[in-house]
Amino acid sequence: MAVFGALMLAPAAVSLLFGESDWTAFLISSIVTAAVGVAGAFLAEPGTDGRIGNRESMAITTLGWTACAFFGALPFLLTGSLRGTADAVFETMSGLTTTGATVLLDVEAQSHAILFWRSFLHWLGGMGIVVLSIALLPGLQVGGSQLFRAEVPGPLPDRLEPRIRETAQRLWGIYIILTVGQTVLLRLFGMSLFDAVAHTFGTVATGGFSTANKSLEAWNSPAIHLTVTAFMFLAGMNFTLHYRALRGDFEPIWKDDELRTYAGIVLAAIALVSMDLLAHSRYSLGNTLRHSSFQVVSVITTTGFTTVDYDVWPPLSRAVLLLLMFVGGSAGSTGGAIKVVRMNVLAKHSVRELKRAVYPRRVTVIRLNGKAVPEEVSSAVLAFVILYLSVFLLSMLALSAMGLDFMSAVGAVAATLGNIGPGFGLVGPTCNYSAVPTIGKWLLSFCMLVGRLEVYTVLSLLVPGFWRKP
Amino acid sequence: MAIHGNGASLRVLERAGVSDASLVIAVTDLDEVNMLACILAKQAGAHTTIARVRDPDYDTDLALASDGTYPGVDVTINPDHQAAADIARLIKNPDSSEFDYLAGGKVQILSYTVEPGSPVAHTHVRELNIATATLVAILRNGDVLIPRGDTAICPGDKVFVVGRRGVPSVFGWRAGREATRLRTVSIIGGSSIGYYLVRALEPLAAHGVQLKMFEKNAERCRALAEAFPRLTVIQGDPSSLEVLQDENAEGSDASAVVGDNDQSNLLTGYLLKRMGVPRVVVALKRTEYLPFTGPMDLDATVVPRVSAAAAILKIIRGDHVLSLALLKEAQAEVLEVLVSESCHACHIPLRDLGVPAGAVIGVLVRGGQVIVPRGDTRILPGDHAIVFTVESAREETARLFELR
Repeated sequence: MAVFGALMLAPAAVSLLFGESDWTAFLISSIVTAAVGVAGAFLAEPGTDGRIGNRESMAITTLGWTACAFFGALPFLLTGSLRGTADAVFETMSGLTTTGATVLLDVEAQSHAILFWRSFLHWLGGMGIVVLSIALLPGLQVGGSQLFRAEVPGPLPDRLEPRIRETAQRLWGIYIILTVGQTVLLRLFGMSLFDAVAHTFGTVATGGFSTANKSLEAWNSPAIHLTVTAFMFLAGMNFTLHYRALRGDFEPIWKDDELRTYAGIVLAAIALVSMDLLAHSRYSLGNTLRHSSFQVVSVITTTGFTTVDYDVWPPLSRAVLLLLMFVGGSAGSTGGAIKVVRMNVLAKHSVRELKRAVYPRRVTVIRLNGKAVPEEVSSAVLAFVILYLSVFLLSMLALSAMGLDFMSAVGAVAATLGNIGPGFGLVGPTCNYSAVPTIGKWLLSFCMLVGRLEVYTVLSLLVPGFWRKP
Repeated sequence: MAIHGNGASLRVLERAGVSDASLVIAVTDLDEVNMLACILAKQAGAHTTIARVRDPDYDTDLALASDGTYPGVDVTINPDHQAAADIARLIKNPDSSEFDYLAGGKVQILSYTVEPGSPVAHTHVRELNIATATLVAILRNGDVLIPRGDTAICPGDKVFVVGRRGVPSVFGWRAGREATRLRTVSIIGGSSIGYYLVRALEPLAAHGVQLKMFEKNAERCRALAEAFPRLTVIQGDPSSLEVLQDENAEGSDASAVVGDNDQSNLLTGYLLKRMGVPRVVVALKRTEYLPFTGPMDLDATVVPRVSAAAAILKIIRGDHVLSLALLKEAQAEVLEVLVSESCHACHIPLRDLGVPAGAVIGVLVRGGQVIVPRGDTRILPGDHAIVFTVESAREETARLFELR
């Protein structure tokens, strides 16, 4: 928490840089947060042996994330850019979970500091989730996340703590390389430095907060759109593959089952959407390819940038995008939703069960990258998908009860649970989440957290036996 | 000479005189004792050491040992592995029940059972008139007969033929069987023999042969399915008719029954044969049932212990005998002899050589050519002679070729 407070000084500096007056709000938030953090550290119950097991890890992750969302909301409230805790927490949670769903009516009217803070939240959240999904969650074995490990290169100490530290350093190195690379390219293609940094944060974290009301539609430059598309795709890949690429180890990358599926889905979706658009809309061929590829990659990687209002696209294209919202990025990326590798396992599992109906005695093994997937893992994946869909359906039901129309409710929940951002209808690309009732915003904030922390981590806290001593 | 004592004890080994032994073979039931005995013997000065090692965990360790980094065990023998290799060879060559290559692969020895409808049944050996191969032995009712011109061939005889590679198969057709093409091979039992067998047959799967494994134990099934992507693993009791029929075991072109239990192996093998599987090979742990397998009509039986013994014998007969096939519990042997300059048998027409009654010179390999000998053929120095001999005639045969 103290660190999080210190990080709030960054937007304060941005504020000073642009000669704006709201740096005091960030300074106050920073002091409050840091103070609470330091106090918490001192007050931490002495006498406990400090052992961090599975349950402690899950609780710390969930509660830490939630606390950050609340304290991160302070600047929004203090600067007066958002009124009401629900709005401020929604916006912060959307940033931290790299969702990119906003309740701000007019983004362009906000100070640079606020805009930077939103994008910076993405970047921090992305950093957190990469480490979480590759280093921590596989150890907890939630929802088949053992699959995410994808052979983290290098020596792996057995103890959790040094392993996370070691892995985190490598992954953050890659994260920073991607960030710097994209910022330089965007600057080259004509964006201002501030916009370039903000959009880069939104891209590598697959977040989706923009500095413009119309998102990337505001920059009508194919070069910029192409750059963002490429980096969104990279950010949706497993970061351990990037690490291998940096070491010149390309062999396992071409052969990676998940990457192949991911690329295959992206290409197929682009082809489908392009054909649909060519048949039913007035775009030129070049624009069709540009927008369809941008939108497909933006949605599957759960970024949520837009170059065009896809809500007015023909039904097939919208249906494809809705399905992609559930697929999500690769394991060990900053992308959200169910994840390609789980889709892989799910598909193989289903085919196997079909075959088993014909030959009940046959014993077959699900393989991923040639290696056998243990039975516990594939059943955990199955349970994950069922839990994910249950949360989706229940939340959708609740939103409908609050009066949202069907498409908006579906879009809102799919887009927040999958950490995408814009949905359909009322919460489509040209609108935002300000129209959702307060209680709905709390619910969607919860959805973002559930989706981001791989469902199990959050939901297991609700299991009655969780807090009891075993 | 037998010495009673712990084979891993240096004192016992010294009493046995390992320090000047040219060969030490350690074949107790314990891998560790065998390896230790070999290492100690090697340190003490033994020339060559052979250890029976079954645990695959030691494979890599011993690979290190055999490249000279850590001297100790020169050769390892794994009975299950050896048996699997034998079974694989029998399955890959569907027309013989025992089979081996000699003279570096130029010469084949194999055996067939003469069926009642075969054109060679009820004929005399001299009527066969085959110029490309030699009929070296007949196994009838458990006895080894050395064929002479007037020996009659009866249905049910097992005939052993030596010839140039590929040629004895032609004879195989004459012995009454069409060559079958392998499409499906079923392996019954996921024992360690089963594991090695799948490993040996896996290359066939790449060429479209379906490999089926029947195993009762769920864990073993899972482990096999994990290890071999191309293997079709079927979990079920292989001695249950229902399982065999549901999974179409009778549709296999060949079947290897390699379960842990001899009795159920025999039963399953018998069932498969009755169901119409053309080739059934059964692995047995003990030799005591062997004499009774005849009426069961099994195509071949393999005993890991015998397979291992054959492999060890191959190594022992080091200098002049290059490779060797052991037939049926050492009732007979096939020797491959490199004829030396000083050999008594050189330059004499075979009919005057006085080959012992229990031995037959199968073929001669001279400068890469395979020669089927006649009465006037002379053996020359440098020839490889493939000699079939029954156990009782071995000494005499060895003297003929100056064997140790």
